Amino acid sequence: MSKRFTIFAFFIILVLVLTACGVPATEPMAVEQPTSVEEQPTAVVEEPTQEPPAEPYIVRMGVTQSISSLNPVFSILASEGRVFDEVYETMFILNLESKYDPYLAKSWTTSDDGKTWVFQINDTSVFHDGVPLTAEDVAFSMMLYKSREDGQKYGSAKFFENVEATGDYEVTITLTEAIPNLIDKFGELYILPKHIWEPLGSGDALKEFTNDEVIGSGPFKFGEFKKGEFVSMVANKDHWLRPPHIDQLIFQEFTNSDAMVQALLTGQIDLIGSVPLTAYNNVKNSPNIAVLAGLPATPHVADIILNGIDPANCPEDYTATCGGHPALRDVEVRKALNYATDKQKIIDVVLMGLAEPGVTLIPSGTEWFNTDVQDYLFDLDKANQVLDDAGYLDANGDGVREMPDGTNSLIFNVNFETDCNTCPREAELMDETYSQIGVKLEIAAMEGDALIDYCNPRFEHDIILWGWVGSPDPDFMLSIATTAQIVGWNSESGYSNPEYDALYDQQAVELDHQKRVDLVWQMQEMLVRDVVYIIPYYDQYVYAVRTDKYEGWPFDYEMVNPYYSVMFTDIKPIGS
Amino acid sequence: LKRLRYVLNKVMWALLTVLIVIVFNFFLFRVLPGDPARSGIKDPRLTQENILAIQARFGLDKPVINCFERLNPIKTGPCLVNPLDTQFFIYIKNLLQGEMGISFYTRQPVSEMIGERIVNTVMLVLPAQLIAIILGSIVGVIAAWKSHTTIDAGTLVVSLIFWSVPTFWLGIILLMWGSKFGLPLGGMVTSGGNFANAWQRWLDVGKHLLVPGLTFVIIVVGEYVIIMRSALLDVLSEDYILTAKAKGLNAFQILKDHATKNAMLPIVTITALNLGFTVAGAIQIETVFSYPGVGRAIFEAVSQRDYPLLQYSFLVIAVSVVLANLLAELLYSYLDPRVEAS
Repeated sequence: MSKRFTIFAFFIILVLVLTACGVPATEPMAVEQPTSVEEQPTAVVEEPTQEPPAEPYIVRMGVTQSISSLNPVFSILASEGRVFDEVYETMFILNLESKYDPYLAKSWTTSDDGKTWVFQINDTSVFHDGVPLTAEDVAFSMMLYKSREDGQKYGSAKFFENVEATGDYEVTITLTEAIPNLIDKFGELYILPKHIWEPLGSGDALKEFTNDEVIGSGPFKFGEFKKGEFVSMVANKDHWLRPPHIDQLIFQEFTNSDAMVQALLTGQIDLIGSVPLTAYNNVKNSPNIAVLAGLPATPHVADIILNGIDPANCPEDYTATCGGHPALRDVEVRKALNYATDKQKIIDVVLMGLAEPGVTLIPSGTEWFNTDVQDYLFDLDKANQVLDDAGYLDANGDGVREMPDGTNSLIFNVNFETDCNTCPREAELMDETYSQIGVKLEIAAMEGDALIDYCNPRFEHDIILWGWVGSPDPDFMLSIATTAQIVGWNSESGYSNPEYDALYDQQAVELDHQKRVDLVWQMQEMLVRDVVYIIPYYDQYVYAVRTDKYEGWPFDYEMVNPYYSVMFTDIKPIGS
Repeated sequence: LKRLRYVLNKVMWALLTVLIVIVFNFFLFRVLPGDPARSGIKDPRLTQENILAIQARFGLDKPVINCFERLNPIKTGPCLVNPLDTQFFIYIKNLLQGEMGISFYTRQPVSEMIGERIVNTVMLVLPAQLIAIILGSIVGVIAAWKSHTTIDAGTLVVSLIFWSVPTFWLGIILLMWGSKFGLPLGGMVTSGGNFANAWQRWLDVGKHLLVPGLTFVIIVVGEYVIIMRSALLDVLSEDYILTAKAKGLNAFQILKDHATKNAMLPIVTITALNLGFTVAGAIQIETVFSYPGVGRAIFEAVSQRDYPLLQYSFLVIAVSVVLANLLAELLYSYLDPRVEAS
């Protein structure tokens, strides 16, 4: 009997231990909503010190990309850019038509040769530490970006020969050469306070500067940064152009997108920057939640890379092998593969229909997209015909075609990054249709960094599923297919066409807008004619927002801008 | 004296292990494919000049070690370079000076970065680990004593299920369940919360720790139950237990004074190992619950090829595991003097 009793006592203790852990924390929570907004009143009653207004309007956005660096000169990530967009000001700002609106820049004049620009800037901007923003700050920031070749903004600033303050609120920019898209280059060049950044000099102090205070002049002041958790910003109600209606803006980091969606559904956060496609329907059908889907204002292009590099162009890197399948060097084979790619099915199955079929490296929706260019529409008979005509026959009857000389069966490796969610299914769908034209695929995921090297400089790949995020100006997207990028590390297909390269150089300096559009259109025709890529789709960007607390979300646009910073100063609390 | 020699011997081996880890760490990350200058900064707009400038900034333009410029893919170089001007010896030199390095990625000292994360991780993992050890041992003892009964079978099945359930799956299920009660879905503290006092803040942190902590306990408790049970079963079949029973001692006395202490060795071993690994964090739980711990920091550092951060965190983990093992071995000699003799 006593034995029984002790064991029973063990269990009692056990149960007590377990419940003791669980009860105190869950009990109060079942009663109240654990948002800090509601915890606020009690705090005020207890200690009437310097508390913010009783019910601050806090907007929380769930993000999946971490934030590492707050130094805009060296910052890399889009998530960091989002913070800078709110805290700093720029000369121009991206709108939802994929164009730049004047921001700090009020007016400007250009010299006849296009090399000298004089900007009048706003004279009422003030940094968050109370120092007025003047032309000196603008000139200093531009030259700082230009001086850091190892920095992230160098690409945008490299055309500046000199930037100087020619008045308190007048900036004169001299360019090394006339370029057509100068205004687009200002979008990421945040204006830094000279009085904070100049003392850092140009050496290690600048590199190691963590910029913990992030003093800017934008509509939000920097608040608190908890690495791996969140960044909070406080409204700058005195902003000259866009004083926010909300009190606090928080970007909260999630490493688990299911948890992020659940946080939106339960109201712990107010919006999600990019909804996982698997959760799309669930989110869409939930009460008090609106979904905004559209083509991104900053181009997003998915691509199927076909390695067609001519071994004569192989980069001199010691690792380069240029060992891709020789059949892919034949444009007829690439054409057949394009005919055999069922883009609509990929969109319907993999992307829940949230995309449109792609054609070239320039996505539809922008003015640069060539609407005349004809894509290779899905047609297996035509694909078979093309291969037959080009002499790729299945001589040994194993269901897979060989090269015209009878060697090298058309078996291609398909690779993609291990963390690509959509790629495995996309590759399977390709395999389904390619197998019907006598082409076999060997599908394998690859660690991202290994894949970069495997692609360029090694050029060992056959087919890779990947993609690009460009900027609204087409220059960058078009540069990818130039010969120079084979050694410049961005070429993935090894495409080399002197005619294309010449057009690229021409459009880079063409100041006449319509002429430049023509050149860009011609280049797209070449890309499609030579099947440099198969572009399966242009995917949409999907936002989800809660509509029960805030209003004024950007619903009235066809395009969605993942970096649309103006949104946070547009929205206002419902009923305010 | 014999005892002292035993201790010294163990300490020497521990130091040697740490040394080997230091050397191994350096090469381990450099044989990975990928270049920190390109991997950390996945921006295609970087020109080749930018990348070379970044490599020079990180000191990656220097040869890895004499005769080798790079390790993946292997590129040989001149063997007669000044060894002090190679990455390996610069690493050793800095380490000896106590400089753990600056993260390639965030430009912050890695010791600071990992230091913060270790505090977070220990707050999550240590209490959970301790609860699991105590709970697991107690349940293991009960199961062993009631062996071949329904209680034993039930405990065993439940423990095995807990032990084998995938961490991320359980984490997500509990996370969704917790959110029904308004428990937070991620992070360590409510963002933007204006807490009236420190107590409120800790309460908030506590809410955030509850579900991840529970997940951790469930995942590891099974292991302790099973090991405790089987160790105790061995002991309980010994003759002296039968003698104790024959003497009329009750269950509690037998377990407390005669059986449990002798069954402690395996528990001490896994406890030491697991506590040593505490600083390594719980990568899956930290990911599911968006918790800013060491595991996540390491995971991110791997994908960014952030060598200094990786080297330092692996060093910290190695030292703490070696230390915990050392403690366990010293504890052995106390629990079972026969260990020392051999």
